[in-house]
Amino acid sequence: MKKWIALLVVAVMFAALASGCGGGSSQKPAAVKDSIVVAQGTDIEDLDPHGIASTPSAIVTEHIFDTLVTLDKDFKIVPRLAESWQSSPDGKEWTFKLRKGVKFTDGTVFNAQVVKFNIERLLDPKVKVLLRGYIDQVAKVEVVDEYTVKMILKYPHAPFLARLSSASNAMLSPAAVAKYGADIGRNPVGTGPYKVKEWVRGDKLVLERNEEYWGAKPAIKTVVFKPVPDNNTRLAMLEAGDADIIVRVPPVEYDRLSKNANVKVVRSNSTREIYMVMNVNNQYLKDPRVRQALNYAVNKEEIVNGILKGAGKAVDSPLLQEMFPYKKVGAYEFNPTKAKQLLAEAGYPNGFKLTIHHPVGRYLEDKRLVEAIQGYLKNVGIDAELKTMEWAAYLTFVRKPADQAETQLFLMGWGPWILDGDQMLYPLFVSGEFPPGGNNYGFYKNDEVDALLKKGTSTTVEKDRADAYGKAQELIMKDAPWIFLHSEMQIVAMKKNLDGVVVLPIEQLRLAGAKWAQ
Amino acid sequence: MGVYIAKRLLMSIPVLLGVIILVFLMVRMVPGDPAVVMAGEQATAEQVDAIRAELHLDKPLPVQFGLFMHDLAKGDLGRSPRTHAPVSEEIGARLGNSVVLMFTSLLLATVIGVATGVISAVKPYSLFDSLAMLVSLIGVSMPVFWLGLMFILLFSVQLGLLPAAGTGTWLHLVLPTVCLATVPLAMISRMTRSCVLEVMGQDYIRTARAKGLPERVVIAVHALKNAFIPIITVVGLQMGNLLGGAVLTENVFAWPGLGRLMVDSILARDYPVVQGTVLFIAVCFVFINILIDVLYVYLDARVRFD
Repeated sequence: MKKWIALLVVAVMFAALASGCGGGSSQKPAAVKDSIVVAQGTDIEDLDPHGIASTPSAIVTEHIFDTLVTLDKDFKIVPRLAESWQSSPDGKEWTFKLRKGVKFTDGTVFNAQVVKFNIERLLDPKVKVLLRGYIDQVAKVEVVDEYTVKMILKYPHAPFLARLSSASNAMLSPAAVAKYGADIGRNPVGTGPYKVKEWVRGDKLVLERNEEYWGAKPAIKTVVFKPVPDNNTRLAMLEAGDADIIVRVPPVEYDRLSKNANVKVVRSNSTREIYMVMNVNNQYLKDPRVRQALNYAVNKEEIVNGILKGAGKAVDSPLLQEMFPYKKVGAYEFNPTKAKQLLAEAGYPNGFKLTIHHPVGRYLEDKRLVEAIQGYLKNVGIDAELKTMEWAAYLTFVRKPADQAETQLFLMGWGPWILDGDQMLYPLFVSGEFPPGGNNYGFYKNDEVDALLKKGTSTTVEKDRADAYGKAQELIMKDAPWIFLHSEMQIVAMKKNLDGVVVLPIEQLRLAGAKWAQ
Repeated sequence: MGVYIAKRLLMSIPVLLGVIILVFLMVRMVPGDPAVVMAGEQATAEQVDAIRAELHLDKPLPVQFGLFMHDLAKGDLGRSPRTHAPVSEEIGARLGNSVVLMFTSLLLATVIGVATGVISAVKPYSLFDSLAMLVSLIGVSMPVFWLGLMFILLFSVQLGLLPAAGTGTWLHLVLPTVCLATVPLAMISRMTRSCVLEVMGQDYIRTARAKGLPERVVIAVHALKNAFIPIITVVGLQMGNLLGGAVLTENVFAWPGLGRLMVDSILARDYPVVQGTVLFIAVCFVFINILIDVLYVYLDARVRFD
């Protein structure tokens, strides 16, 4: 009797396997769908737009809230809640004409008072605003009339308009802030194309169409965001039909997924730049010739094609192509002979020892990346030891002030939320931005670069900005405070018949224009 | 019995206090500044300091502990500086999922584990026995994340029978349950086999047989009841384990449970959530243990409260 049961179980298992090999049969009936399921890698933390700093949260808040200006599908700054704007010749005063007839989902009318309230909340030291650096140029907000608002800056700041497109500078309903207080992040009230229907922490966030939305009504009624940490599970969900869009597809899966007839794979540039920072206070790395030698030693193209499987682009300037005002200054070509020659000139014909610190699981293929770099350095006589660290410990480690820093050569990435070069060059290369407060982790200092970057920030004449930043990019490349590597590409996969999804280079999705093809 | 339970509850206080101190110190000993990590790379220095102040990290350790205990005494586990939600709400949002998954997988593991264990013990070294023990050996040694992924690929992607991940219907529960049940199932079945085998050699079994009782009654009434004590112990321990330790299964199946909450919070150095979750699970452990000790008495007449 028992043997029979066992046999039966085995038989069923074989039958299941056999039919499984016969070919996928997960087709769902072709009913008209009006919902989308998005599987993200990590959970949404909070929905108070002013408090967020993570991309998965920003993707969601960008559908609930509106900013004054935004990026369109061609990554240009376009009107959103502000219809038009004007800056004073000195770039210190910005006047915005606001859209009329916009209401929050709680009925509050959007007007100049609301803008004033929001900017003041963003500036209020009592409110937790992680990305305050994206707004704290504002000194004062004035209500000119019901639909005109004027922002007076502390100093002329050219990238100000771009900063207003950051998801963190969105407009919240003042009435809701008063009503919910500290719990506003769980009861978000905005003017965006969607509103929250249900949020089960860690499980799913359900958005439903805002029927009173002032702009073009989304075709999709319901959008569900699910946190799915495992890369392979996200892939399986898409293939099994449990998810319609998945983000952060591993590069190794790109080719296989592209061959799937039911799936559309979008691989596009992102503004996340990856580089090896050199601590310029290090006894070897303080010599620019050594830093240049390290740049010549590494084969960037091979990394992009071999390790990233094409999901990256070798950089040819400190600034990325998508950002204003990018200038192609030319990369260090792969030339180990020249590297050795430069090392010899610097007095290290036999190389030296270095420690490479790096996180794991943070950037695309980060571990294999540094292993490759270790190999390239070995080639030119530099004996590098790898030290892997968990992200939290790593970030604390690299953010120590100069006198405590134990860093030498280490892997970092930077992916700003706005496409203005200021948010890349200024925090990473200006000498006023040393840790622990800033992000110039290698303690790079060049007075000329400092002056140029400050000028690029404060002048509003586009040509002058381009000139200043262009010169700065050349100087930085020559000084080589980093091993310049690549920018990551983002791979987003979705159902073949889903149209209108916009993938922005700031690693964000816009779903308001999405629709299912008939 | 009331006295016994009261005594056990009192005894659990130092245990929980120890857990509190340990977890409080442990999260703080792990390298990584929570303020830096939670604020993120683009945050201003002023924001990093604000989070440090929010977590009282700018104060000496004993003061931090005092503040934590003060809130705890009021039943307040604090708020997560990362999500701004109260820790109790964070735990509450996951608790149901963890409990459901724990019960279904333990039920599956116990029913099948005890059944195979008994059959194996009754006919030791038979074909069924060898096969069952081999399968349970594989079950114990199979990495859960791999098994889970294979399940998803077969039953969701290939066959389209079950949802790949997430929650919703009871169908969502099937794959994570089976996956999570493998290890306890193997343990329970091996434990049952050895316990029943041992009991079967006892004198009272010989007596029962000598009385002329049918073998079925001998096994079900006399043998199994006494063999149950170690089995219950294993099941109880697994209960606590599965509540907070099902991280791998939860990750593969995107199941929003306590294990994932804890690991995510550790990675983000979200001290209040780590402390709250560990403390909560410790309390569960203590209660489950008391419950099991009480169960012993009903199962084995030789065990007494005093």
